Amino acid sequence: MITKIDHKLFGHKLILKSEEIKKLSSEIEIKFLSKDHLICNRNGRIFELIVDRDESGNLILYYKGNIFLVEITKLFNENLNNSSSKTARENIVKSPMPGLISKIKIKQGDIVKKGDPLFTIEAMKMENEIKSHISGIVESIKVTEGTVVEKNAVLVILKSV
Amino acid sequence: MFKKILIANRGEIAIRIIRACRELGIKSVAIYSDADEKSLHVRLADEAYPLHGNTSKDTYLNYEKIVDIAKKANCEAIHPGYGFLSENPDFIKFVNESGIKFIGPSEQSVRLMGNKVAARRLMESHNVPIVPGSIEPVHEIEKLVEIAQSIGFPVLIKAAAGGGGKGMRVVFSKDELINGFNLAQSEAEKSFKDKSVFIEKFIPNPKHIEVQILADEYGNYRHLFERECSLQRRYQKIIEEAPSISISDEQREALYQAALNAAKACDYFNAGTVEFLFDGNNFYFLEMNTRVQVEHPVTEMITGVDIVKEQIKIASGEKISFTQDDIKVYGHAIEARIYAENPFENFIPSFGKIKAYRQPAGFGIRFESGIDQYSEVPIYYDPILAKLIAWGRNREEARIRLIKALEETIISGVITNIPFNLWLLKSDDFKENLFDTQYIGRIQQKFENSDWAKIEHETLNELSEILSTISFENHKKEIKLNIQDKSKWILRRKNNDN
Repeated sequence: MITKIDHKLFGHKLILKSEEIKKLSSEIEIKFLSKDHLICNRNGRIFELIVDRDESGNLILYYKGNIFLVEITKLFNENLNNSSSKTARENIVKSPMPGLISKIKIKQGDIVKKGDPLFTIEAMKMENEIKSHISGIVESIKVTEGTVVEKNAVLVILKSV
Repeated sequence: MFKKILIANRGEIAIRIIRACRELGIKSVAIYSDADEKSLHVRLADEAYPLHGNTSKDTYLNYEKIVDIAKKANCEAIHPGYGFLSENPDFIKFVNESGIKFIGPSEQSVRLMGNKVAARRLMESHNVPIVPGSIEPVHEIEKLVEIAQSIGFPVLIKAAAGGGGKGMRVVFSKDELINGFNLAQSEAEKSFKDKSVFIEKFIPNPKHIEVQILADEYGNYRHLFERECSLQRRYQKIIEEAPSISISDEQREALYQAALNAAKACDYFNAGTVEFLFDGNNFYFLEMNTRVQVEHPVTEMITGVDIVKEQIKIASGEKISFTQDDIKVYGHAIEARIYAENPFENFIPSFGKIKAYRQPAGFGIRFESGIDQYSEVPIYYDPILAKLIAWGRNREEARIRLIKALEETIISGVITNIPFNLWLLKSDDFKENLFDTQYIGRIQQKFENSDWAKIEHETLNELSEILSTISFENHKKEIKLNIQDKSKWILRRKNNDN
């Protein structure tokens, strides 16, 4: 799904391919102190990270007095589209990522067209719009504004027309 | 002793002065611009009054407003801090004529030292070594060429009324001198309304060493040893330390004597700093700063003398309470200035709301900060946020403490120069004292292009892995997203929406 992640760390360029990430894979536990202050435990090693976002949508990562600019290009959107297509045959919309439901743009009984925005999910200071993959009527909304959701959590059930 | 003092400044130095007042049982009065109404110095003061407006001219540089507030609040004295009105003889005159005591030197001392030509002339006649060159301003080009040839190129053309690196230019030949002279004159005219310039020998890659002076109004003079502040970017100091490890004990004694001579020459009282350039063998008078310096804490750490309290006591008419022999150097202290400047984009100022904030702590650590987690960094003023000072029994201990404390510090929401400070402090050049005032200019490019972070590749990989897990969530099995405190998270979000 993801072939390349460009982490342009101010003056540092680190490119990781997805296979390499898998090789590195390990137990990572992430706890939030606040929405931009995280504790990541990777195999027992602690990383205290502060995450911010600049005007152009890049992540700014603070770690032990160092500051990294992490450029993320389109990857989120790709991820979203892929998730959408996976659930295309169903009438439910799932969250493509963990995050905070910051805005619900629909209410029960609304008629939505394919491509209409349904929710805004905030994760790592990135706002992501969740769009409808089908046209239909909103049958039941499973989350409220402020809900923190896991990946693949059911957000809304639509009735196709 | 005074009962109430107005502090004509903002940020970390205002807070430094508030703390000194508290210890002396003096009430402190803060002043603030519109942008500063919620700032930390306002919150820590006993009283605070608005200046209305935001530009420096309308606020912290406005004599009338400041003195008016001081009178209404029954302040007996005004402490100017550094910058703003601290070295303005007209302000000192205005304050004194309003029946308020200025915490600092006399108007005459400041006026004398503020004029570079007058100061050079005075130093020359009081056994303070000056850089070879013209003593008087030079107006004819023929005379200028003659002097330049006698001292040898390269030479520096300096505006008589300049300072802090403004109105200076280096020339390497007779032709450059002739061109440079006209430019320097017109620049000086524009910037300082005084086109007088003088020339002196240009000293390539010097060290910057300065001596802290305290003097009372009864003619008692003390020095508090030296500081080295060679790490500068465009004449703005970044890392300072005390004592200097660049000079011998013999040179040190001569330096103190020269600094005391300089202070005596202008009948100085209160705290002041005599700055010198050091070429490895000889030192030359650069200028005298007639106020408390940003880097005063390194001297406080190695001597135990509270310079700001001494300033207040001297202004209230007390004699200096210690003899020269009472004061000894103990250990080593290094300060790193934390500026809201982006070191990755040529140090452009960064401003905005502070988001995450944590002060470092521990043995030997001192953090002088003007901000906390509720602060906003406005665009109007100097970008200094805080100073981190580490003391150690020796230089290496202080260096490592400072590095560890910088790594522990969290300031997000604005980009700070902390990564650059860390890079400097971790470098072999710093460790081995291989730097001078031109050093940062030479290595800045290297910082921008190089493996500056000095983080092991393994750690970078780990960070990348963590990031990819969080950002892209493509390892379903590996991640356990655990929101510990949902209510807090939501609350934060709402606050941010305001």
